[in-house]
Amino acid sequence: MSFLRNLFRRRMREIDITVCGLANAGKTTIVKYLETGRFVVTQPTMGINRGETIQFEKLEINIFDLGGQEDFQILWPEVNEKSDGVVFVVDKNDIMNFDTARETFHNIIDTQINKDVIVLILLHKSDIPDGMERNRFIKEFGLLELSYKWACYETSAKTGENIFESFRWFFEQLKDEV
Amino acid sequence: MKPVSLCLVQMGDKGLELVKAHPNVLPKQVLNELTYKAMPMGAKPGEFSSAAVGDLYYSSYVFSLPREGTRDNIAAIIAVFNNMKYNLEGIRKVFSFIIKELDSNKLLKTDIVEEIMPNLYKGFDSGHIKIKISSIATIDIDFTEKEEPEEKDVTNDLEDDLWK
Repeated sequence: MSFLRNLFRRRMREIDITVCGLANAGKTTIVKYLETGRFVVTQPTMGINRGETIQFEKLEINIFDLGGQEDFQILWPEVNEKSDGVVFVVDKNDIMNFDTARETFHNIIDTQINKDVIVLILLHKSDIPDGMERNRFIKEFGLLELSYKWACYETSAKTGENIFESFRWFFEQLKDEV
Repeated sequence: MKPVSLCLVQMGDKGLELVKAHPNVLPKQVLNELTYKAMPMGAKPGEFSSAAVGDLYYSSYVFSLPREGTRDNIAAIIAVFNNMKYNLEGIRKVFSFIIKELDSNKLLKTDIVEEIMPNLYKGFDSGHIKIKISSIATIDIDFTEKEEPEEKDVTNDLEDDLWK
């Protein structure tokens, strides 16, 4: 029995993903939705939250949810450097901080992650009307110039829109790449 | 059980920030250190922790701070002492009770916690806290400090014996 367990364990692969984005973008709410399948009210993340390990086919995925406040961003490089995949969350209604979000994202891409890392960008809080439209966002956020494998989804942790779909794409890529 | 100071820390736009220290007697460096130590990495509402900052000792209680129109914030109320001889359990009970009462009266707001800090500070000294938080609600706590029994001085006993 233990032989079988060991064999099974050996076939599972453990990977780390990080969830980044500005403060109040909705990072923790997305992670909670993935874990519980429902909308959970959250508070600001104190530094780093190590989420539950999620199993997807032969992957064991450790999720590191990073606090978005400027003071906590100094912690990001160390975690992102070891990461197999990065999820970047943008509040689609937070137009005021759009430039800061873009700068923060490109800083991660340019200086913190390896070239083979999969990148998922979530244009979040799509349940709120208005906000930036996806096609315009892709262009203005500079995603078309990325040399990484990436995808961008509009998501909402309140309605559940595209949460599982986007992460399914992400995990499928990780399964093939890592 | 008189604290040196009571402090309120909350998450700001850039990171943790000190909202108020009462009385404001601690050096800036200590306050800065306290701001980050009182809400350690991964801290969650309801957590109570105690540690040292330089020569001082503190106990902090982390709580959720409701806000209108946006998600709740995270904050901590801290009591700072100049020695370790204070009633940890008493501090935890007082902090959790006050936060719970304010919350149940929908009065758990940064400005209200700031406002009650002077009364809370006085109350820790007297062992009786009475704070009127609205026209209809008053927080009233009586807590007696559990003093650790003083060690018996052997020489005094000897003296007593000698006189008998």
